[in-house]
Amino acid sequence: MSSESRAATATPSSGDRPMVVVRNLQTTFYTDKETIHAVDGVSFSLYPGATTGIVGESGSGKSVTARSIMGLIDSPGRIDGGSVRFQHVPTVRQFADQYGGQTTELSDARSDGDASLEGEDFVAVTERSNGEITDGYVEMTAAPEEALRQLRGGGIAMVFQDPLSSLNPVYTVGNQIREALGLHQDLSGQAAREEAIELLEAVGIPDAPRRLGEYPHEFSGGMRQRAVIAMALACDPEVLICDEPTTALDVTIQAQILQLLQRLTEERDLAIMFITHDMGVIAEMSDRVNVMYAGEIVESAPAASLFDSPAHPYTEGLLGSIPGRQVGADRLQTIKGDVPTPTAPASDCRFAPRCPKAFDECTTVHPETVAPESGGDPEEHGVGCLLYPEDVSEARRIDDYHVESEGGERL
Amino acid sequence: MNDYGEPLVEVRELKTYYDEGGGPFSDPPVKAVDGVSFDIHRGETLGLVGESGCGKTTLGRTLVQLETATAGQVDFDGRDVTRLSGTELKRWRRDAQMVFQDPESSLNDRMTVGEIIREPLDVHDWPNLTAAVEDREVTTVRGDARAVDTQRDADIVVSGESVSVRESLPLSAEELSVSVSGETLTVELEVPKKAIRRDRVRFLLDRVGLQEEHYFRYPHQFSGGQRQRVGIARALALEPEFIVLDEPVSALDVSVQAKVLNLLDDLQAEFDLTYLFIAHDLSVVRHICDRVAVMYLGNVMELGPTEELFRDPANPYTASLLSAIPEPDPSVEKDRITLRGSPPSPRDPPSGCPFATRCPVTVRPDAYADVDDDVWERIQEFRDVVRERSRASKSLVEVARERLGLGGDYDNAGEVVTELFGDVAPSSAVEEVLEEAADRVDAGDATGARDLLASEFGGICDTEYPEAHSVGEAGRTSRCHRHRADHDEPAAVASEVANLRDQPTDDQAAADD
Repeated sequence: MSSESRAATATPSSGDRPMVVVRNLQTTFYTDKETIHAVDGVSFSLYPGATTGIVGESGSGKSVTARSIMGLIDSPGRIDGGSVRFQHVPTVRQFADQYGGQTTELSDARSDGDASLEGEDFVAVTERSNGEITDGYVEMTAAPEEALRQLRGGGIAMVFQDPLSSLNPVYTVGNQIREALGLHQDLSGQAAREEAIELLEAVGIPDAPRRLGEYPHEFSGGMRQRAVIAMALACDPEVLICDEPTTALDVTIQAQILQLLQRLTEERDLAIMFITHDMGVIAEMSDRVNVMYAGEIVESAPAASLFDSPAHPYTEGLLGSIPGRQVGADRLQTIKGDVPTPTAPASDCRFAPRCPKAFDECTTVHPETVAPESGGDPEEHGVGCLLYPEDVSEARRIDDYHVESEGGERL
Repeated sequence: MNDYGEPLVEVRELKTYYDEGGGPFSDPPVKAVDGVSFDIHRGETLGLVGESGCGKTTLGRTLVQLETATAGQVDFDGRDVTRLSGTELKRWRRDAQMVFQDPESSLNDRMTVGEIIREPLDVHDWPNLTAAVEDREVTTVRGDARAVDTQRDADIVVSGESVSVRESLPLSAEELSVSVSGETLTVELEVPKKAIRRDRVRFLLDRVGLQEEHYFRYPHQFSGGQRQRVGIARALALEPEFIVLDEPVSALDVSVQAKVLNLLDDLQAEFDLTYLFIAHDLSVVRHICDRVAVMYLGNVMELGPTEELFRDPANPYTASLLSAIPEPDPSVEKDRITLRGSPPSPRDPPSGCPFATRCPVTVRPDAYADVDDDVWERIQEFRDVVRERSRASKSLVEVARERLGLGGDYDNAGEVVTELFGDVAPSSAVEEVLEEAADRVDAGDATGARDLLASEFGGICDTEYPEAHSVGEAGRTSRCHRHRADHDEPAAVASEVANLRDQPTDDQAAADD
């Protein structure tokens, strides 16, 4: 990707409609011993043709976020709040048709965009012209299992870290791709075979017709991940969630897969959510980066500004501990302590115990997402830290929080 | 930093093969390490990098004798350790230890951390005290110590009335009873060895950044970083000189990784350790290593001082490997060399240069010197396909079909050719060879096609194993035919190829705009 095209896509213009909008998502796991707030109030959007990165250490809640979007949270886990809206108009039309009884009409109400769904409903129609639905969304957190199954693979597909465990070892690769094609595209026989060959070729597997007849164990690691991506694409999804897709691969193979994903984003206008712990990969892939820590997004910014001027002390620490960034330095910077498990609702800053810049209020006030400088747009570059906005005095910043919490006007 | 001092480990033509059945029906052996030679100098950190399956872990395990070498030798302090056995091997093992990659599986979950670190001490009956009398020869040493060859190595030195104990031991002179009678020196411990070992474990826990009270905890109560610290403490227990670190930080998060790397640095300085650091993460290697060896398919392709090698890689494989690392800085634009496919099977490595099948800058035969780069690239891709086909295991039905001349199941290699060369125009000479090869594949003779392509399009890279040419200033070596005087240097050719590859993407970008 050349630098100009990156800059152009780095900040999707406000006219672009996000494909998926996640707002204040909360996923909690209830065990006998403790309650774990694995995802605690996470908000972000996925835009077509752009890659949104989520980066964080293990245990920060990245994968649970992805699984929550897909509706793959099983007991003892539960989505406790927030919304995941899939705003793909053809899907809304299809679902409004199929689940008429569970569709809420918001188009005539003077909705401010936040008008809620009624009862068991999960499909919302927000705009019609001449009776045709032109805008709306599917609320994934409220959708029944049956509808979710249609969406998984069809609307939103996922690529997991370990390709071997997402492929069935006793079926040939071709068989598995044809199965996906049969389920979601209603293709079978020769048509499915031809489509499968095309998909394998699209993900850069040479000699595809022969490869179709092979079993996963006959593929190399990189080939397997390509095959998994081909399967994910089989249903022509709008959104592709990649959960550490290159972590199990070597750098040379990783480079191939990253290049492939970049190409696919452009060619198919996919909205990609890219999860990784590797700062290098995220810098390469993402247009926008969200940094997760203990279930929360602590900083969110376009890739360039995040790496140039990280605001949150955790982001700074994370970037500082990458060996490659400090060539010649004798010692690596470290962050003291370990990632905590969020067992209680956030009433403070979860990073405070490890933060080199923490002050008293950090342990009593839960920071909101603000812009690093006052007047800035927190949607553009947001940081959840009491040190910001930087140009406002500390006392003022803290005061603002007390006023807000007393007034009960928290977002 | 060019003066590395004396070599501690000298590896010469070391080979480690697996699966050497030798029977008439057995597969060829897996050549995990296929003839490597290098030195590791005292006090340095040598990095060993490469893709998975390139043999770096096998090499590390062979150095500490966890695998048996097939051929070659490993001289440790001047002694060939591949020939050691029995008590000699056990004694030598104290000097060479290993830290394993996965802290989840390398610790016994049913032992406390204290027991885990103490285990090597128990096994080797530590402390293995040595004693000597100053300025005097003693012929026999009795009790809990044994005699020593050179006096300065002794743990306990008796000089007249006073007794001195080596500082790093958790032992004081008061805890010993020493008596000298004539030629015999008797040393008795007044405290149980167990107590000394416990003290040693506590000392180690403290050194690797754990608490004393962790002694009685179990591994599952620790995080990944802490577990790796336990693994490091266990490796240090017997005061080794040389430690093989097999991907010690690969399983850790970046912030934890930084702490463990700092710890390894500190320990090296404190205990005068020599490290062999195996990793696939090149940025970690760049940070911690003095010199780096780059491995590919059981061979060391390039070896040299870290900074020089990273700044100006000489070998085309090193260059591609380095260019593949994603930079944690979105503003950096790199000339990436993306390699085709994945490394070939170590059962059937290429006959010439190990990297020839994926190399972007192979030396071409003179007859095809002026073939368009784009066409050449696709010829290589076609060769990959044919190579794959010749290697693919065939079912009985397929074998039967071939024998009967019915062709394979997915015949039609001609189609592959059309697909690959659809948008470029190969010269008629090239086309003829391709057609002939495709025909052979269709007739079920993929091996014949492979040989034909190799003899037509293969150059010196496919036939001859490259020498280790000396490059750079500080004793760097690189195995590549392009270093020979009669060819262009790999870097020059690589930049040409990179420029060529960039062009189509630039055009595309322009079209997009």
